[in-house]
Amino acid sequence: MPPESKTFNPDSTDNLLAEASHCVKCGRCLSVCPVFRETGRETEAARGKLSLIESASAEEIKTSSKRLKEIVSFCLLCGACAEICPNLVPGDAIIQKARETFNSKDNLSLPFKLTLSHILPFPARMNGVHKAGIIFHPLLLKKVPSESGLNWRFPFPHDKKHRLIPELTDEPFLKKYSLKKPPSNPSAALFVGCVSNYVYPAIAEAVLDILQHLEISVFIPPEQACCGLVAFGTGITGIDRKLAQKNIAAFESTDPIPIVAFCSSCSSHLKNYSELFEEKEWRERALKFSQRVKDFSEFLFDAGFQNQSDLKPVDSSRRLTFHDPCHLRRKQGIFDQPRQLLKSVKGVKFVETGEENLCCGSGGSFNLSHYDISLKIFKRRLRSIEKADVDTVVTSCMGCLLQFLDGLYQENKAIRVKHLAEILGETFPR
Amino acid sequence: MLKKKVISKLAKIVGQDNISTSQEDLVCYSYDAVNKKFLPDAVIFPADSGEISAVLKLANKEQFPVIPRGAGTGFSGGTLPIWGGVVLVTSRLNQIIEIDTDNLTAVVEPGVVCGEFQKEVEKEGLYYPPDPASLAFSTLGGNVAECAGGPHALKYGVTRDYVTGLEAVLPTGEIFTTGVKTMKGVVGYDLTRLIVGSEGTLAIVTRIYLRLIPKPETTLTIMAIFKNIEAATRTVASIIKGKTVPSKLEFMDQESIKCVETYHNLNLPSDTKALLLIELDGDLITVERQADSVEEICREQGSFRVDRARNSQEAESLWEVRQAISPSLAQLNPTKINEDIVVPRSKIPYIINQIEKIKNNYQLQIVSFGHAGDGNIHVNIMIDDKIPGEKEKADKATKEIFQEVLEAGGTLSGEHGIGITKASYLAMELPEKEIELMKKIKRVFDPNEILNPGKIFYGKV
Repeated sequence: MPPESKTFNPDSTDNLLAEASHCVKCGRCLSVCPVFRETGRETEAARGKLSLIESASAEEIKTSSKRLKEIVSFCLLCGACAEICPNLVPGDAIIQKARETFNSKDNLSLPFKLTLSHILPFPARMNGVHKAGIIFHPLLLKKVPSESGLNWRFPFPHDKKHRLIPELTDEPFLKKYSLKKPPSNPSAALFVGCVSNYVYPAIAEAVLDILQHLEISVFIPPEQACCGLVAFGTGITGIDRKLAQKNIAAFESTDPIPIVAFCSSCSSHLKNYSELFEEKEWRERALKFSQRVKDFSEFLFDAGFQNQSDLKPVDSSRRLTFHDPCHLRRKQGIFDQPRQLLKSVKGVKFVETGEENLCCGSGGSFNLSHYDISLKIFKRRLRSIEKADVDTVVTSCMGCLLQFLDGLYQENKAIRVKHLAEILGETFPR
Repeated sequence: MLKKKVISKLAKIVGQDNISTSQEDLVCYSYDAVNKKFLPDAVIFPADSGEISAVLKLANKEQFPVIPRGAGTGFSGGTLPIWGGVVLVTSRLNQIIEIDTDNLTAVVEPGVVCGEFQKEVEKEGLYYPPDPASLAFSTLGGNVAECAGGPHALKYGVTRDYVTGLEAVLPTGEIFTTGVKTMKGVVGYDLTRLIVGSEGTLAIVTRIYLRLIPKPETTLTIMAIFKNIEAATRTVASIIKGKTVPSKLEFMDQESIKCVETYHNLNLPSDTKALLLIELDGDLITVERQADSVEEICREQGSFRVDRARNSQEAESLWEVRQAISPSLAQLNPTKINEDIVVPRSKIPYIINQIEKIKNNYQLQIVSFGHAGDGNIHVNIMIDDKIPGEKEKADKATKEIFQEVLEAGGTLSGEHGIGITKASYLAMELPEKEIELMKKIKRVFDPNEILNPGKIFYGKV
């Protein structure tokens, strides 16, 4: 007689971690997990992680275990596993929760942790770091990991990788615009996000031009902060809530006009703010906030940008594709809108690469802690783009954008990457 | 427990990066799709047959079990380390070595994923038909070990019908080859067929020689829905009797439809009690003609709606739904007792009827779906084994179902294998003499019983 198997009976609580036991180990997630596809190790796929989380919850594995934290950190949170799961197990959400519960911030480098806990929540300090970054940029920032969220502006002298680091702007976007007089009767409020504020203000300016072109008057609350997604994804409890509270407060005076975010990772996280709070007051305020949030492509589509007949043709030699950010397609279910917008631009040839649901490998802090695998995942994405003979990749997430910039540079490719607003911004006189 | 000395010897063979002994890693190699848990003592990722050979020699010397593992998606516990030991993962042997378009053959390593291989051969206008529901993630090595089948078995057969030869490592460590690279070959015993379906108990396959066929010109998918289960099973029997051989002919009962619909909405009328998914393939004219005749049979037998998929995407999404049924059943109850009985196709209405009776007698949730076209039905008893007495009740029902199947001239497992989940029922189907002969074969291959021990047969051989 085969020995009896041990089966788990975790108490069914409301705890998200308990949902790990709903995984029946069928293995479907193996077919879509970008990390598993590169390494072939079960520890990388949701099935392995969920099984481990189950064991840790049942106290069969020490929750202080270093290896546990390491394994749990090895995930992009792209959501491909949750999307394909026949039992609708939210793999990415459970893994995020596990990071928070098992405190896997231990796996982050010290400077990154300091950024998250001591600088990010304080816009004044952020500006200070930004200044320091400008001064030291040529010396130190050459080796700074260039990645989504927030870390691109912080020196990591210990990092040996030769990543492409975008230059910091001389003047943060928000600082420049805080001096301007706000419109008396705005019809949209703009959430800017860190990358655009500190690195690519031109993208924010393109967004503003497009909205103005549509005669939408825009208010930019000066007190807004980082959306908090990187802190949330990393599982650093508290900071993401603090950031959310700052943003909720910053936009409250403009209720009920829509809040437009043009980084899809930001917009996705802003839409989820209410999930962060258990306490009633903040939960309600967060819900009110979240219901107003629109991703840029969603907002433009609803505003009818694509219906304009007088759009100027953009450089007709271009073959464009849209790279779907995981946070747009999977987490917000937005797929058609950016395509319709791009197809409305005369002159360009829009092509699909056939692998729209492939993650670029950025994954918030993933790219920092697992740079080599991140690049491999990027290369897989790149292959489908090259096959479609695309010369410009358009996307709407700053994490993806930075990943493409670095990845294309590492691979020495002449393909360009642009934010959706940059392409649409060329279609009318500015 | 493995001795430290043994672990360091293993590390020397496969390299430090390709062995894990931490509890955390072992947990991730403690299960397969049966969803039971047995921790191994180590997990290794060898690079080639040479390393596998060295590992097996060591295992004989030190007497520890070695359990080969592909993707760990089997349904009978074939890759569970029930007595501990070393789980040997084939993920690094993942090359398609050759696709020979002159001879319509291919050579692959065992870690290649079935669906990815299919895509590659289809680029050459060729076809590899075996299509287990796990094809998007299960490996060809695992498919060979279990002799996996799928909906295509009806027209095209199962894995064994495409394997012409193997390179493998004996449990004692010798590397050997079987079979041929040609279309025919009768030199000596057919060891290839012996190893295909041997559930990783006779050898570890390191290279697979496959035959391919030309890719059918076109395929067409039909969905027929029924208000009662008998009408659906009668339809299956009529299609087979009508001498049309669809490339797939799949059946779903009401419960399986309900479960899978939470994952993918099919927009079916609420009084749908059963559904048939039918695929026809071949040249355009034949397929159209066959589709008309199949649709007519469906209507004659009582289908109240027959739809044709309008394009390949629609068809693909229907087949994706089919592939998601098995795991989606967990919505009913946490524990699945998963059987894959086969009966002569004319007996399908009879067996489904008997299962209904057993289900009512025992007041159990029993869900049936599967490859009705080849008589292979997946019968799933869904229980909550925390409720006292449930497991015993389910075991009794299983035994009764098996008895019915055998009386109808059927067999206990069509494609999942025996593993540990059906080991205790083996003697119901096989005469003592045959089991004894099989055990003798096992002993010839594996005198020290180190390769995937405790599978197929009850306990030690």
